[in-house]
Amino acid sequence: MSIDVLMPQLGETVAEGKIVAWLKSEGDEVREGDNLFEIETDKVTMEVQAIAAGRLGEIRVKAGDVAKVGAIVAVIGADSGTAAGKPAIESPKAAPALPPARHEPVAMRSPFEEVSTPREIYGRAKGPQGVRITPLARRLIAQNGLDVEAIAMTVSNAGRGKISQSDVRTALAAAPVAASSTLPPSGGVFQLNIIRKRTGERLQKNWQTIPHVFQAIEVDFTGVEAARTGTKEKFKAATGFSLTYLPFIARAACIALRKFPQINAQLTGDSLALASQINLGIAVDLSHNGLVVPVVRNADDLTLPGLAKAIGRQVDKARGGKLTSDDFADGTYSLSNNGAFGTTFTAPIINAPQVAILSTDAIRLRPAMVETAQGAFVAPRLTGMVGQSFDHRAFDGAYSAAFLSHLKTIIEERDWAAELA
Amino acid sequence: MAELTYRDAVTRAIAQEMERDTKVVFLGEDVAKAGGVFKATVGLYERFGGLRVRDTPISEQAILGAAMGAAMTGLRPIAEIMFSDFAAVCFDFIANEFPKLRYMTAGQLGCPLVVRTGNGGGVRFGAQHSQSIENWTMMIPGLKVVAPSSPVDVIGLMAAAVRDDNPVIFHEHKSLYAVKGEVPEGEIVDTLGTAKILRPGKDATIVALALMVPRALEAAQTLATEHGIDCEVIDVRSLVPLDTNTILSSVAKTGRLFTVEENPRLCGWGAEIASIVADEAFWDLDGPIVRITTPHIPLPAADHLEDLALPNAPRIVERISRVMNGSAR
Repeated sequence: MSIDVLMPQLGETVAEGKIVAWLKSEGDEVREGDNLFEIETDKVTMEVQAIAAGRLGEIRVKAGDVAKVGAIVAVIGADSGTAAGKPAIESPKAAPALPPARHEPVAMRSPFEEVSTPREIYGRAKGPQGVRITPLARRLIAQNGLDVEAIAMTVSNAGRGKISQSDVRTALAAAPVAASSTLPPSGGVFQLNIIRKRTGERLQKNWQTIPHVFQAIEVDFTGVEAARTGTKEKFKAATGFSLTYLPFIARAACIALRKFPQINAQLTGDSLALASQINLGIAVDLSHNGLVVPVVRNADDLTLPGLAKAIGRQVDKARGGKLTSDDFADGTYSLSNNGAFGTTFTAPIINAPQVAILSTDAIRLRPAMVETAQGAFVAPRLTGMVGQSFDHRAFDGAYSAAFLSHLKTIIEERDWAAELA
Repeated sequence: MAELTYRDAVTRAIAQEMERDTKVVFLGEDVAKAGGVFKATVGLYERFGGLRVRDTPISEQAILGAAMGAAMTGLRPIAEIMFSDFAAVCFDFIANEFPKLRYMTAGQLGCPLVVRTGNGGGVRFGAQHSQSIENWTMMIPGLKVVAPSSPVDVIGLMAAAVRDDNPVIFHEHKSLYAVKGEVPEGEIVDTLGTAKILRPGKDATIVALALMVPRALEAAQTLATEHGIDCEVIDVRSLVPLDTNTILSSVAKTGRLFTVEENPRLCGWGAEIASIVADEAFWDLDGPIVRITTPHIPLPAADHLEDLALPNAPRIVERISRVMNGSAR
């Protein structure tokens, strides 16, 4: 009897997947649980395992090709010619590929609920040289594209039998942060991992094809700070998430976007499609090891505290390497926050087919002119730059400027304390 | 802030709730005129009278049956089972009646009661009076399960338990009754299902409950000063509902999990937490999950034998330092 191997569902909104590599060849004996092939979407790669044993008879979708979800990509069994029999990988109609719990926020779960096991497999527990590799070490090695052989060699030369987190961190610290063509490669050369390669390809295309215009406006955050001061400890204690400036800016952006719908839109060909929802992409830096932009869906339906929690959850998932393809889908507008390092402003690259991206930078005390009935005074105010890169094909500078001005007014004048109460 | 013993905190917690709500009543063996065998309810009878603070016959089934009837008809009883081991003689109420009532009456009736009970070992009471039974109650759908480790948590969690519309089993630890802790003035109300990080750390997560909490804290101190291992200590406080968020976040940070349980090893609550962490945070783990437990034996009454059986700070230090240094497993 032969068994069909199907292209699995990679997330609710994903219709097809690309096979990056086959880990077994035609004619190989396959055991249940063996990694069969590796698939890839924009930002997620994963290995797919066989759920039945047998001989891999025929590979129908070769490495590098794309297949629709549910398509037969290979056949396991003695008779490779027929496609009858039980599917080796569940059809998407039979069961949702990702357990619902994966989409739940990382909130308190009751023991009555089923827990979910992560789907990603980051390699075998036994590595080269016979050393063991802890789960965390395996994940870090895979996510950073490190050479497991080299680490295993180092560990085994040191007389130890296990690769743990600290060995990977040591290897990471030894790897050069960036390779520059103007310098001789004396500092070493390292392979870009798949996420960095994909990110780079997209950024290059967006930068080359979109006429970017960048505008920035100075915003006074003194009022926001007043509202934060009274609430942030309580918020942290109640939710586990920090009440930073970002959710205030995100909330204000949601309100302003409703008034400027052409900014919350997608440009395809000759048409600009206004989005009915506001799905905010939040750029997250993975400790200098990559950039991902998980999406907070229907962000305009959330209150300020709700938005702060939703952003916090996506950032946690991103840093924990737990994002699925659904977390990246359907963004309509993006936010890039670079404040942590004290920069004044950042001109970000637009994430096509979106038409604009907002950037925020350091918010700090600066001398500012304050106008009163008694005249103008210099006063210390918390200020920061809020900037936007927009696609000039979608609209003009005046439209973007009016949006930024409206955004500034909301941030400075909204009754934030009431929204936090 | 005033210092209060764990024992006096029980009295204050019950008084706080009886003062607030006349529907709260309290019953048990020798709890009224005698003030309880552990002297944890002294003065309640004098303050609230014999109608609301009642001594019962020596029948655990009668205590819990009466409490259930009272809860079904609108009161909010607190019932004492003197030693948690005696839950076994009235387990039908705990396992079959309280937790199923709302479900089986399609929500027409509820069972808003608290069973408070002296739990755990360390006081040389022998095999039938020293068990930690929080895992017995944790396994039953429909019950909430609480075990505080400090006087302030006794008050806050007792208040939350009394105000909860579901049956709550409230495990007081017999070895903690004499322990003192700072307690603020005024009403204290906490939230069920919230763990507390009592000591932040970066190298390993220790999850503990009740008497094991002070022992884990002491061990963490030694591990930091003598072994350079920086442990995060989490007091679970509530097994149902369980604050998986705090535990999983901590493991994501440290990569290592140790549970310190007074339950006998087989099916102790730490096994459930280990299972959840293995499922949810496998790729955050930098080593095996290790459970430090009482062995699977009836507890001995002799001092030195009981001390050998229950996890203590030196044993926690020894186990964690050995595992973290890679010389074990």
